[in-house]
Amino acid sequence: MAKGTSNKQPKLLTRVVKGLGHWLGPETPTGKVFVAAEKSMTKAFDKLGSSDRYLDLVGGALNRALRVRKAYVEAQENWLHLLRLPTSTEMDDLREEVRDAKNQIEALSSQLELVVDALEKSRREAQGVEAVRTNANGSASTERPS
Amino acid sequence: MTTQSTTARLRSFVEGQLELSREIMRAAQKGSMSPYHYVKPFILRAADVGEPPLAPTPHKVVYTNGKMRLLRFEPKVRKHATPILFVYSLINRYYILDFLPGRSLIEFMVGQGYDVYAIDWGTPGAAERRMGWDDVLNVLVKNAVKWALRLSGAKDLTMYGYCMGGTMALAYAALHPQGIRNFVAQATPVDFHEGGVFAEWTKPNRFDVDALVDAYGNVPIELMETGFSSMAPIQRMTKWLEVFRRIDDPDFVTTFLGMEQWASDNVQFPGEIYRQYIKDCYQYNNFCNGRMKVAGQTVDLSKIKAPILNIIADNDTIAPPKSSEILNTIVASTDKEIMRFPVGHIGLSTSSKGPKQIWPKVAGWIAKRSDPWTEG
Repeated sequence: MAKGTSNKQPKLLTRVVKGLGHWLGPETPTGKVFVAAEKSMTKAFDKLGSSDRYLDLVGGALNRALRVRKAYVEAQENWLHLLRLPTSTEMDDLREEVRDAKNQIEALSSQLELVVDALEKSRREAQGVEAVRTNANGSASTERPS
Repeated sequence: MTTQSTTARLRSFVEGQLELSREIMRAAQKGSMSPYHYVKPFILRAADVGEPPLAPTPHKVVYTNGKMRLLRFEPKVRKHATPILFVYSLINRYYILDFLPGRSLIEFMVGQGYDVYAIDWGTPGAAERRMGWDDVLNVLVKNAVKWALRLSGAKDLTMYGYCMGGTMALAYAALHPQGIRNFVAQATPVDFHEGGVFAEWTKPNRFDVDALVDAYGNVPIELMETGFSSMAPIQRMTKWLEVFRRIDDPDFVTTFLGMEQWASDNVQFPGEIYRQYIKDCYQYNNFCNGRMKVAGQTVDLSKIKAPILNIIADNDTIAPPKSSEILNTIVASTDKEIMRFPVGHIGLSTSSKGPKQIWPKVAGWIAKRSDPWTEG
């Protein structure tokens, strides 16, 4: 190959990645073995995942771990309370109050917008009435015999 | 000359390796469980492509409340007076609806002349822990509807819910039917006792949701990731081999990486609403049976009278067709239709079939039920 041709050789990393993909692809003997292994493992996991016994076992273990953590959090809160330090529940209460306050401000601003809109509407209506009255007066004065 | 070029190549190689190691270390320090963070640096270099251009459609933030943002995607030429409001799920991020250029549902709808709005729930944190149905539906969605109507100058809109966003939007539409002209439910679970593996995993005797929320506040990202990866643990790893094989196809690599980036961009699920969601939907099916309560009001889906389009993915394992089909029998709408497509849950928004086969039909359905836009 002459130097400077446009046929650029792919990077080493590209070749390695592609080679690995093909080596484990369904068209090669190694890949066929891999695909068969993958299928049987998937089948095994599917069977396991739908087994009531397995799910009860995993669920039970998870629930026990969660209850232990919950008890730990409660104990931690009690200690913080004894030390007169803010607990996470109290912080959550505070955050909830802030959120409620924000929502109330937003609701108030919406109501204020409605009031402003209504005022604007009545102002425009009043202006319209005034304009009609002025026009009527103007035309009445022009119609008045001199 | 040769020595110089060899030195330059060697330096570039060493720098590349160092950068790769740094990126992998960063992912490991963050404790990322998704293979995406570890494999992506290699793929980007091997394929010589940049980061996927996700969320490409220009938009403005028109309203915010806490972490939630309402995004407006204005069309260059508006053809429809009735705007579309997308309500996305609290799981993962909204930008799956605005995936990649040419493969974005939002971009497509904007191109059809719709004034489009989308709710981005952001990344919930400690401040969102106690947020429940009432906050989400009666405050956030309600305000999003109000602002969308105000900015678009319309009196009603098309509400477009996707996945859990569809469930929430349906609950909203049942509570506040005024202002909703049409409803599109895409891959929306309704009968949660037909909810596939999630319904099995979250049965009350197997999953103590109270203990989880009381222990953690918000649902941690790691737990969400574990749940998703348990659905197809082997494919989660082996699917990368396909991108290895097609490493010299930049379009395929970009789409694949975009998909994986979105899938690994998990966010915390606000704790209180998670508790209510699991109980009202998966554990006791209150949502489907008209027993779900929001601030004392019952969510009765039979109060929905707006025209309904129910879009179902035939290969959906998250919202199985059986869990969605029932919607058309519950609502009081007289104008209702089901559209089915041979794709998966995410495929409805990202598949190459989207812009050719799926979205034109959906846009046509909405167009027939929207007011035309007249200037002034």
